[in-house]
Amino acid sequence: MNAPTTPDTQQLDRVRAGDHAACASLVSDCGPRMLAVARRMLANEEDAQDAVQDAFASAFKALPQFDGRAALPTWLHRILINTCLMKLRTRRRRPERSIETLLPTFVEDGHQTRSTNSWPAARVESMAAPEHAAHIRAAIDELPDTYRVVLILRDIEELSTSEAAQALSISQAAVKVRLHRARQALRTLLEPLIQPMEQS
Amino acid sequence: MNPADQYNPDPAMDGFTCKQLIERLAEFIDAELAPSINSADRRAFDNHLAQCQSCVNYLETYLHTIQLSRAAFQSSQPAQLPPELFAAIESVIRATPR
Repeated sequence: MNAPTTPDTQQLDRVRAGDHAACASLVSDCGPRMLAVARRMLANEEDAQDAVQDAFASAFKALPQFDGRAALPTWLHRILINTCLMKLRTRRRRPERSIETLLPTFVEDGHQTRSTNSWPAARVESMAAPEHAAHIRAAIDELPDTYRVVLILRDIEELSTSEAAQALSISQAAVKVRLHRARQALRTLLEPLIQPMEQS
Repeated sequence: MNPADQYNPDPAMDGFTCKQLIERLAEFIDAELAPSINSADRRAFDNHLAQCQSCVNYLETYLHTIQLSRAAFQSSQPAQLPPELFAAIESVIRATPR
Protein backbone atom coordinates (compact mmCIF):
# COMPACT_ATOMS: atom_id res chain seq x y z
CA MET A 1 0.00 0.00 0.00
CA ASN A 2 1.27 3.46 -0.82
CA ALA A 3 2.05 5.85 2.03
CA PRO A 4 -0.58 8.58 2.42
CA THR A 5 0.19 11.75 0.51
CA THR A 6 0.66 14.71 2.85
CA PRO A 7 1.65 18.32 2.10
CA ASP A 8 5.20 17.34 3.18
CA THR A 9 5.42 14.37 0.82
CA GLN A 10 3.90 16.44 -1.98
CA GLN A 11 6.54 19.10 -1.44
CA LEU A 12 9.27 16.47 -1.28
CA ASP A 13 8.07 14.88 -4.52
CA ARG A 14 8.06 18.25 -6.27
CA VAL A 15 11.52 19.14 -4.90
CA ARG A 16 12.87 15.77 -6.02
CA ALA A 17 11.39 16.32 -9.47
CA GLY A 18 13.35 19.57 -9.71
CA ASP A 19 10.27 21.83 -9.54
CA HIS A 20 11.91 25.23 -9.24
CA ALA A 21 9.04 26.84 -7.33
CA ALA A 22 9.00 24.00 -4.80
CA CYS A 23 12.78 24.26 -4.32
CA ALA A 24 12.59 28.04 -3.87
CA SER A 25 9.73 27.62 -1.42
CA LEU A 26 11.78 25.12 0.60
CA VAL A 27 14.71 27.56 0.73
CA SER A 28 12.37 30.40 1.77
CA ASP A 29 10.70 28.26 4.45
CA CYS A 30 13.78 26.63 5.97
CA GLY A 31 16.56 29.07 5.06
CA PRO A 32 15.98 31.74 7.74
CA ARG A 33 16.00 29.19 10.56
CA MET A 34 19.08 27.54 9.08
CA LEU A 35 20.88 30.88 8.90
CA ALA A 36 20.04 31.52 12.56
CA VAL A 37 21.47 28.11 13.49
CA ALA A 38 24.64 28.69 11.45
CA ARG A 39 25.14 32.12 13.06
CA ARG A 40 24.86 30.53 16.50
CA MET A 41 27.28 27.74 15.62
CA LEU A 42 29.89 29.77 13.77
CA ALA A 43 29.59 33.25 15.33
CA ASN A 44 30.67 34.75 12.01
CA GLU A 45 28.28 36.08 9.34
CA GLU A 46 30.33 35.13 6.28
CA ASP A 47 30.98 31.62 7.53
CA ALA A 48 27.31 31.26 8.49
CA GLN A 49 26.07 32.22 5.02
CA ASP A 50 28.65 29.91 3.40
CA ALA A 51 27.48 27.08 5.64
CA VAL A 52 23.82 27.56 4.70
CA GLN A 53 24.71 27.59 1.00
CA ASP A 54 26.91 24.49 1.38
CA ALA A 55 24.22 22.71 3.39
CA PHE A 56 21.58 23.31 0.72
CA ALA A 57 24.06 22.15 -1.95
CA SER A 58 24.73 18.92 0.00
CA ALA A 59 21.03 18.41 0.65
CA PHE A 60 19.99 18.75 -2.98
CA LYS A 61 22.76 16.35 -4.03
CA ALA A 62 21.68 13.85 -1.37
CA LEU A 63 17.93 14.11 -2.07
CA PRO A 64 17.79 10.80 -3.98
CA GLN A 65 19.05 9.06 -0.81
CA PHE A 66 16.63 10.89 1.53
CA ASP A 67 14.29 8.21 2.85
CA GLY A 68 11.65 10.57 4.25
CA ARG A 69 11.74 9.03 7.73
CA ALA A 70 12.56 12.44 9.21
CA ALA A 71 10.74 15.61 8.24
CA LEU A 72 12.51 17.59 5.52
CA PRO A 73 13.35 20.56 7.83
CA THR A 74 14.76 18.14 10.45
CA TRP A 75 16.92 16.48 7.80
CA LEU A 76 18.16 19.88 6.56
CA HIS A 77 18.93 20.91 10.17
CA ARG A 78 21.12 17.83 10.61
CA ILE A 79 22.96 18.48 7.37
CA LEU A 80 23.54 22.09 8.41
CA ILE A 81 24.86 21.09 11.84
CA ASN A 82 27.34 18.74 10.19
CA THR A 83 28.35 21.42 7.68
CA CYS A 84 28.94 23.92 10.49
CA LEU A 85 30.99 21.40 12.47
CA MET A 86 33.10 20.71 9.39
CA LYS A 87 33.69 24.45 8.98
CA LEU A 88 34.69 24.76 12.62
CA ARG A 89 37.21 21.95 12.20
CA THR A 90 38.78 23.38 9.06
CA ARG A 91 38.82 27.11 9.76
CA ARG A 92 41.81 28.49 11.54
CA ARG A 93 41.13 28.05 15.22
CA ARG A 94 40.70 31.17 17.27
CA PRO A 95 43.11 31.34 20.18
CA GLU A 96 41.17 29.61 22.93
CA ARG A 97 41.19 30.82 26.49
CA SER A 98 41.60 28.19 29.16
CA ILE A 99 38.31 27.20 30.72
CA GLU A 100 39.91 26.15 34.01
CA THR A 101 39.92 29.65 35.52
CA LEU A 102 36.15 29.88 34.92
CA LEU A 103 35.29 26.71 36.84
CA PRO A 104 34.40 26.60 40.55
CA THR A 105 37.17 25.73 42.98
CA PHE A 106 37.02 23.83 46.25
CA VAL A 107 39.05 23.53 49.42
CA GLU A 108 40.35 20.22 50.66
CA ASP A 109 37.23 19.24 52.61
CA GLY A 110 34.98 19.81 49.59
CA HIS A 111 33.58 23.26 50.44
CA GLN A 112 33.48 25.89 47.73
CA THR A 113 36.54 28.13 47.98
CA ARG A 114 34.27 31.14 47.69
CA SER A 115 30.60 31.00 48.56
CA THR A 116 28.09 31.57 45.76
CA ASN A 117 25.71 34.49 46.02
CA SER A 118 22.23 34.41 44.55
CA TRP A 119 21.36 36.48 41.47
CA PRO A 120 18.53 39.00 41.99
CA ALA A 121 15.44 37.73 40.13
CA ALA A 122 14.68 41.17 38.69
CA ARG A 123 18.20 41.41 37.27
CA VAL A 124 17.97 37.94 35.68
CA GLU A 125 14.61 38.84 34.16
CA SER A 126 16.04 42.07 32.81
CA MET A 127 19.04 40.28 31.28
CA ALA A 128 16.69 37.84 29.53
CA ALA A 129 15.13 40.73 27.57
CA PRO A 130 16.03 41.03 23.86
CA GLU A 131 18.04 44.24 24.40
CA HIS A 132 20.57 42.30 26.49
CA ALA A 133 20.79 39.29 24.18
CA ALA A 134 23.99 40.60 22.54
CA HIS A 135 25.76 40.66 25.92
CA ILE A 136 24.80 37.06 26.65
CA ARG A 137 25.80 35.96 23.14
CA ALA A 138 29.15 37.73 23.54
CA ALA A 139 29.74 35.79 26.75
CA ILE A 140 28.89 32.52 24.98
CA ASP A 141 31.31 33.45 22.18
CA GLU A 142 34.07 33.80 24.79
CA LEU A 143 33.88 30.09 25.51
CA PRO A 144 36.46 27.93 23.74
CA ASP A 145 34.89 26.32 20.63
CA THR A 146 35.27 22.85 22.17
CA TYR A 147 32.80 23.81 24.88
CA ARG A 148 30.76 26.50 23.09
CA VAL A 149 29.65 24.10 20.36
CA VAL A 150 28.41 21.49 22.84
CA LEU A 151 26.45 24.16 24.71
CA ILE A 152 24.88 25.38 21.47
CA LEU A 153 23.99 21.87 20.30
CA ARG A 154 22.52 20.71 23.61
CA ASP A 155 21.02 23.81 25.24
CA ILE A 156 20.07 25.90 22.19
CA GLU A 157 19.56 23.44 19.32
CA GLU A 158 18.18 20.90 21.81
CA LEU A 159 19.96 17.87 20.38
CA SER A 160 19.98 14.88 22.71
CA THR A 161 23.27 13.77 24.27
CA SER A 162 23.40 10.90 21.81
CA GLU A 163 22.71 13.14 18.77
CA ALA A 164 25.36 15.65 19.88
CA ALA A 165 27.88 12.86 20.47
CA GLN A 166 27.22 11.46 17.01
CA ALA A 167 27.52 14.88 15.34
CA LEU A 168 30.78 15.62 17.14
CA SER A 169 32.20 12.07 16.86
CA ILE A 170 32.86 11.97 20.60
CA SER A 171 31.48 9.78 23.38
CA GLN A 172 28.25 10.62 25.21
CA ALA A 173 30.28 10.89 28.42
CA ALA A 174 32.47 13.55 26.78
CA VAL A 175 29.36 15.50 25.72
CA LYS A 176 28.06 15.45 29.30
CA VAL A 177 31.37 16.63 30.75
CA ARG A 178 31.84 19.38 28.16
CA LEU A 179 28.26 20.62 28.54
CA HIS A 180 28.55 20.86 32.32
CA ARG A 181 31.89 22.66 32.11
CA ALA A 182 30.55 25.02 29.43
CA ARG A 183 27.54 25.95 31.57
CA GLN A 184 29.76 26.45 34.63
CA ALA A 185 32.17 28.65 32.69
CA LEU A 186 29.32 30.65 31.17
CA ARG A 187 27.84 31.09 34.65
CA THR A 188 31.12 32.66 35.74
CA LEU A 189 31.20 34.92 32.67
CA LEU A 190 27.62 36.06 33.23
CA GLU A 191 28.07 36.77 36.93
CA PRO A 192 29.64 40.24 36.49
CA LEU A 193 26.79 41.18 34.12
CA ILE A 194 24.18 40.15 36.65
CA GLN A 195 26.00 41.32 39.76
CA PRO A 196 28.25 44.23 38.77
CA MET A 197 29.05 44.83 42.44
CA GLU A 198 30.40 42.08 44.67
CA GLN A 199 27.99 41.49 47.54
CA SER A 200 29.63 41.74 50.92
CA MET B 1 29.45 37.97 57.32
CA ASN B 2 32.37 35.81 56.29
CA PRO B 3 31.27 33.84 53.20
CA ALA B 4 32.52 30.66 54.81
CA ASP B 5 29.89 31.11 57.53
CA GLN B 6 27.18 30.39 54.99
CA TYR B 7 28.51 26.91 54.43
CA ASN B 8 27.25 23.71 55.86
CA PRO B 9 29.63 23.19 58.83
CA ASP B 10 30.06 19.51 57.97
CA PRO B 11 29.83 19.17 54.20
CA ALA B 12 30.09 15.38 54.25
CA MET B 13 27.49 14.68 56.95
CA ASP B 14 24.82 14.02 54.32
CA GLY B 15 27.02 12.04 51.95
CA PHE B 16 27.66 14.81 49.40
CA THR B 17 30.21 17.59 49.70
CA CYS B 18 29.73 20.88 47.82
CA LYS B 19 32.31 19.61 45.32
CA GLN B 20 30.45 16.34 44.71
CA LEU B 21 27.13 18.12 44.38
CA ILE B 22 28.41 20.76 41.95
CA GLU B 23 30.35 18.25 39.89
CA ARG B 24 27.23 16.13 39.45
CA LEU B 25 24.73 18.95 39.08
CA ALA B 26 24.01 18.34 35.39
CA GLU B 27 23.00 14.74 36.12
CA PHE B 28 20.38 15.90 38.60
CA ILE B 29 18.82 18.65 36.52
CA ASP B 30 18.80 17.09 33.04
CA ALA B 31 15.57 15.21 32.47
CA GLU B 32 17.39 12.92 30.05
CA LEU B 33 19.95 11.89 32.69
CA ALA B 34 17.94 12.14 35.91
CA PRO B 35 16.20 8.73 35.70
CA SER B 36 19.58 7.00 36.04
CA ILE B 37 20.21 8.53 39.50
CA ASN B 38 19.68 6.13 42.39
CA SER B 39 17.53 7.07 45.37
CA ALA B 40 20.49 7.27 47.80
CA ASP B 41 22.24 9.82 45.60
CA ARG B 42 19.00 11.76 45.16
CA ARG B 43 18.58 11.83 48.95
CA ALA B 44 22.19 12.96 49.45
CA PHE B 45 21.67 15.70 46.86
CA ASP B 46 18.45 16.96 48.46
CA ASN B 47 19.87 16.75 52.00
CA HIS B 48 22.92 18.74 51.05
CA LEU B 49 20.83 21.47 49.43
CA ALA B 50 18.64 21.64 52.54
CA GLN B 51 21.71 22.60 54.55
CA CYS B 52 23.93 24.57 52.19
CA GLN B 53 22.70 27.96 50.95
CA SER B 54 25.83 28.42 48.82
CA CYS B 55 25.01 25.28 46.80
CA VAL B 56 21.36 26.33 46.50
CA ASN B 57 22.62 29.61 45.04
CA TYR B 58 24.98 27.73 42.72
CA LEU B 59 22.16 25.50 41.47
CA GLU B 60 19.84 28.46 40.90
CA THR B 61 22.46 30.53 39.07
CA TYR B 62 23.39 27.48 36.95
CA LEU B 63 19.73 27.16 35.92
CA HIS B 64 19.56 30.92 35.24
CA THR B 65 22.61 30.51 32.97
CA ILE B 66 20.77 27.94 30.83
CA GLN B 67 17.65 30.12 30.78
CA LEU B 68 19.62 33.22 29.73
CA SER B 69 21.54 31.42 26.99
CA ARG B 70 18.24 30.21 25.51
CA ALA B 71 16.68 33.67 25.79
CA ALA B 72 19.67 35.24 24.03
CA PHE B 73 18.89 33.40 20.81
CA GLN B 74 15.10 33.49 20.90
CA SER B 75 14.70 36.50 18.63
CA SER B 76 17.70 35.79 16.44
CA GLN B 77 15.92 34.27 13.43
CA PRO B 78 15.85 36.54 10.38
CA ALA B 79 12.48 36.93 8.62
CA GLN B 80 14.10 35.93 5.33
CA LEU B 81 17.45 35.11 3.82
CA PRO B 82 19.59 37.98 2.49
CA PRO B 83 18.70 38.26 -1.24
CA GLU B 84 22.28 37.53 -2.38
CA LEU B 85 22.37 34.34 -0.32
CA PHE B 86 18.97 33.27 -1.65
CA ALA B 87 20.21 33.89 -5.22
CA ALA B 88 23.41 31.91 -4.57
CA ILE B 89 21.41 28.95 -3.24
CA GLU B 90 19.08 29.10 -6.26
CA SER B 91 22.12 28.92 -8.56
CA VAL B 92 23.38 25.88 -6.67
CA ILE B 93 19.99 24.18 -7.01
CA ARG B 94 19.84 24.87 -10.74
CA ALA B 95 23.33 23.43 -11.16
CA THR B 96 22.53 20.25 -9.24
CA PRO B 97 22.14 17.31 -11.67
CA ARG B 98 18.95 15.23 -11.28
